[in-house]
Amino acid sequence: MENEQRIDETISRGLEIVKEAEEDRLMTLSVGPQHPGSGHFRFTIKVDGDYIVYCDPDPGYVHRGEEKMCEYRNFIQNIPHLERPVIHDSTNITYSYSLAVEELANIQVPLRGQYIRALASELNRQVYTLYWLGIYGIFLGHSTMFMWPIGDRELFIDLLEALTGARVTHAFNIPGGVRNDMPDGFEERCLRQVAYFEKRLAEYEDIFYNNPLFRQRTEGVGILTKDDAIKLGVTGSVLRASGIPFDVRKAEPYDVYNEIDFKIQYMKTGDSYARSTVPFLDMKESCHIIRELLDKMPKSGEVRAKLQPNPKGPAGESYKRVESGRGALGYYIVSDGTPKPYRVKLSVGSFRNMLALPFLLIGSKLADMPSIYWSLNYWPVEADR
Amino acid sequence: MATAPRDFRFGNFVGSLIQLIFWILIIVTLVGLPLIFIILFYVPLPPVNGEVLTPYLFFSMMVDPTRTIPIIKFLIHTEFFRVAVFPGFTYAAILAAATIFIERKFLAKMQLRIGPLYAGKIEGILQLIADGLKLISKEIIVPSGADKLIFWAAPVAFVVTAAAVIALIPVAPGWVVANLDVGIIAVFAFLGFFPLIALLFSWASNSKYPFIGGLRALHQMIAFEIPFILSALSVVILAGSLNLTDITIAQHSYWFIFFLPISAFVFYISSLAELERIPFDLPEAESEIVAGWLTETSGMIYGLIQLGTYVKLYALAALFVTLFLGGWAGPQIFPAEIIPGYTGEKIYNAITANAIFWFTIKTLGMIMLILLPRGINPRIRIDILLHTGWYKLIVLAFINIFVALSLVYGGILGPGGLLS
Repeated sequence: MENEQRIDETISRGLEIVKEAEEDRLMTLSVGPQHPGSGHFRFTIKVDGDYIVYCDPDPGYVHRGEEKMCEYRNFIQNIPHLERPVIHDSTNITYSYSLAVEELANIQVPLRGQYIRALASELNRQVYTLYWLGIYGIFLGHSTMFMWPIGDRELFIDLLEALTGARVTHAFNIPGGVRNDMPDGFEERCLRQVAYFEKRLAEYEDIFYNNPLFRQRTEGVGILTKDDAIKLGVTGSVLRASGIPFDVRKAEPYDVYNEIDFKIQYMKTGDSYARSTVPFLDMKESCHIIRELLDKMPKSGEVRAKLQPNPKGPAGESYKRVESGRGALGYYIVSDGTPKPYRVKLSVGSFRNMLALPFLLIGSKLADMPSIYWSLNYWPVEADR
Repeated sequence: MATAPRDFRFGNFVGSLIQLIFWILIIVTLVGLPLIFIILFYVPLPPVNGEVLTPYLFFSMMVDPTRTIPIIKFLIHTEFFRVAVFPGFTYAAILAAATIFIERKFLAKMQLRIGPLYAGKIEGILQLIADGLKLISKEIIVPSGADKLIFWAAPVAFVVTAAAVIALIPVAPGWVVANLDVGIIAVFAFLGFFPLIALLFSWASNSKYPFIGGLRALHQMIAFEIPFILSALSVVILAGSLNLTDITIAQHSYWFIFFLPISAFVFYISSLAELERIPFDLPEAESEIVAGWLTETSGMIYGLIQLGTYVKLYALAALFVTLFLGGWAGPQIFPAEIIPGYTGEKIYNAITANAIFWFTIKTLGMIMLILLPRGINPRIRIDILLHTGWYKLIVLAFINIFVALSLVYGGILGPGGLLS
């Protein structure tokens, strides 16, 4: 019902109910920041019986001023602190920064470096999505679906540790390429891991996605139609679940993605089930991309362009975005010709997806709150930046 | 990482041990033994085998096994033993403790984990004791504005009600605390207390999340009470009695689960809902309402409710065994005598031992079956739950009542039937 209404109407209707309700009829619940189902984030909801009539998201608990911090450090020094908002997707959040700086300073990345970047990005996407899936499982009370992805994530973390030297915060992508080349035997290890992981994905499907109780809980819940998705400006898996095949890797191919043959995974229903399945399909597709990257990669060569110690470009601006685990992740950098950026603007998918939260929650049941909230692929720390 | 202290001397260690043993001996002989004598002197002990139990006789019985047997035999036939030890609370609590351990290990194996490992060296076997000690040592925080009386009383009432259910369940021939003629009705009467306790406790906590959880518990338990009772009713029709012992004896040739599989299924699902286990753990749904009606519990209040929950789990598993799996029935595997040719007084009874063995095995198997859904299912939503309880399960239970009636009137089962 509520999905047919326009967004503004839904929210104003919620406000009207709140205004007109008798005293003590509505119960105000504070979800977060100490609630087990919220993360570093709070949203206040008002419930009328079992139905949510009002929702007020309140982000900002982990605002660290990443954008301002960028202005006091030079382009290379910015890398380690910029990955803090999403430490478990750290390669992707530094990817678009590196691309933007390269455009600004006119740096050409060697081909092998581009491939290794894309490989690290895809591996990190698996790490992020597995973490997300684990939390989604425990949000719905499925403890096995928490343990399995978190356990399998460990294997990808080991791969990334072999590649970059760090478990989660890699600081691997830098302007000019990647920090170091792949270790010996990494290719075989990667292929073995991907083959194993594809078997595991089939098991996930059996125990979780095909579970009738899971389908009952998510199908038809929190429907976001195509038009609403465009109007709200959501991105990533949420947008693709609403039937819009948009992926930055296809729409604006960066680095080597125009040479990779892959399909955009999308679903048409736009409910919680679609939103939770699209990242899963992305993981499947990512396995193919990893194989293809390893296949097409030049077997030797430079991985990193030679740069001066403090790279700087002419005064100017650049905007680059990549497809992260949560959707389009863009950097807008303005430089005044000095080694430090004049202004850095970080545009993240989480914040865009959060805007859909009040719209989807109003009118739904309290029990659907976790399944809607986490299916929006929202990471509170990233949204606060 | 247990490491020796820096100034460790083995000689000092042995010396302190000897000192400890010396003081223990001194204290026991000077204080302990006189104390035992004084107590035994004043406590009127019952006559055993025509002899009045004096402290001297008591100690002579302790060293001579043939004289110990009568006193043990006397003790295990007292009412106190039945209530407190077997088949009463201690037996249930030990099985409940085993359940917690089995659950943690079993779930861990399902989820590719290890589970408790360190406490007790062998597979974390003492983890439960460690947890219990931790809970006892924690501070109990009573929320401000809480209704103090109900807040303190509800956890105790929870355990007591759970323990009251186990008093009605026959474990072996003649081994039941209260052999009521309306046993099964009494069981459901006791189970009817649980939603009340949950609601009272959640209301007494003076907090929003417990209140929502308590209301959910009330909805859920009442929705599943009717299919629960209806599924047990078909068993009563077949057995022709409300007495749980009689129901068990009625199954001596055929278990009722072979005739009433739908009823057993309904009973199993309803007991999952009654126990608030996944997928029916809505009253404790963590991601929605923190910990549901247990949100404000802390320390041993939480411990008591957990103990009550697991005792209740044992009670419902045992009830399932009694109603559908033939209770204590099973092939005789224990020998008639342990020591051949022994003619004196004996405690051992082959039939009772066999009954206890089979009952425990079946109950543990049933407990495993109740634990299983936790590993494979997500939580269900309240509207689906109520739909399942009020609509699907009641219909199924009614169908099974007709099956039971046709079995009885067809002269196949029931009093005077072909197969009984």
